[in-house]
Amino acid sequence: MDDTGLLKPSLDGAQSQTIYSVGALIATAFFAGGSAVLVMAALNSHRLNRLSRDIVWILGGLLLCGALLWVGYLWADDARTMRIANRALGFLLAGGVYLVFRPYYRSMSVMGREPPSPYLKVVLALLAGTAFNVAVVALAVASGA
Amino acid sequence: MEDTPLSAEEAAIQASELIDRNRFDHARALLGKSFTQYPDDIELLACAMRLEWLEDCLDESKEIIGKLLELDPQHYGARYVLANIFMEEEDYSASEKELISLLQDYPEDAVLYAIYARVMLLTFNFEKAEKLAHEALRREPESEGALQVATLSSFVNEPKAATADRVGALIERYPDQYGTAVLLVQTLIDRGREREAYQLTCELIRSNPNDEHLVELANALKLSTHWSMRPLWPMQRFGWAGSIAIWGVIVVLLRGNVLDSLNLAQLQVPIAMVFVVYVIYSWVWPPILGKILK
Repeated sequence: MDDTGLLKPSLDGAQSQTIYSVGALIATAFFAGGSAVLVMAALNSHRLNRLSRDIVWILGGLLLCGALLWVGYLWADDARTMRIANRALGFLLAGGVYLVFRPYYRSMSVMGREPPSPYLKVVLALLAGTAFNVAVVALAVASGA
Repeated sequence: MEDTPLSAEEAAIQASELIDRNRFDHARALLGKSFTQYPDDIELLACAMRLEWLEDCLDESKEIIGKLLELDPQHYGARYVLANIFMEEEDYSASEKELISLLQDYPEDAVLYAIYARVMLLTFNFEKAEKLAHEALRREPESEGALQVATLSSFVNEPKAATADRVGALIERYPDQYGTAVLLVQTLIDRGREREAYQLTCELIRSNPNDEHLVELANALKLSTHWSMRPLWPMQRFGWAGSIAIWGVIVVLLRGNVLDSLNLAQLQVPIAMVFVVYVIYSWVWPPILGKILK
């Protein structure tokens, strides 16, 4: 007789899938900054069937990215400085996202499971992230900042 | 002189011994001959099922399992192998169903708990994997399968000291087992001791020359421990954090006033060029070296 509940099925619903690699996170961070990283985080979260749990911090992160981009637009001397700052923010967020998904990356590594092919999703994340960045800067310009 | 025909039981025992000694061709020949006389013998079918499974012929194994379960719906071996095949085919939900059904019939079987824990690790159910590993160890503290899966669970969940304890326990109890050695390789890689991991992997390949996973691992370790890869040590040791740290240092040097304040502004261009060469080298050299070393 199972008193511990361990013999109740855990895999009846949609099954969790492997997530996109750390390399994919870094690539999006390098080319499009924090917003692209958060798009990859959302994609990973969806593959793990935990998007409803993670959506709050992902949206919070996007707001933060937007606010920092706005402030950066106001204060940066030139576009190059803004790009470097956006990249640095992207790397920081990639590190944070890695820490959130670390047990899954560890499990994939020790159990020999490969991440899915990232190319199409990285391109989508870059497009979405760039569109977000451009939208924020356009708003800053339009607001007369 | 003709060979005395074997009974089904004798044939099954001989086939099982041949399979245990990895003499698969002989086992297959013996089973082929025996099935002409005893096509529905359960023990012979069980040997054939195990042979096909061990030779990665999963569809053939499943066909034999179907036949076995028709003859004996509660056959432990058939259900056990079926659960494992589902796991190998990544049909984890089916594997779980089979394992739960087995555990309801055999609630004290530590091996079944250990396999179920593996399925949970594969599907990212970490808490349940840890609990199942604990149940396996509680029932058979010395079981190799239970110790292995508990160690795997530790790799995912626990700090390095606890993992080292479990790997140590495996080495103490099962020093010669393949699974123990593979986990030790993983521990060494985790701790950045790749040369030792490479040496151990080469030893493992000597006793398991057909293991493709080991060969790939050895190639990767041979690459990463090559002398020409030494400049990439920060990335190898610290992964992407190492890459980002190097990028950060270069940005500060080139964009900050560090060089100006040290009266070394003339080094900006050489540093930038060295960084570009380093980046190109880090992208281009490892794949080339990989092809050379293969």
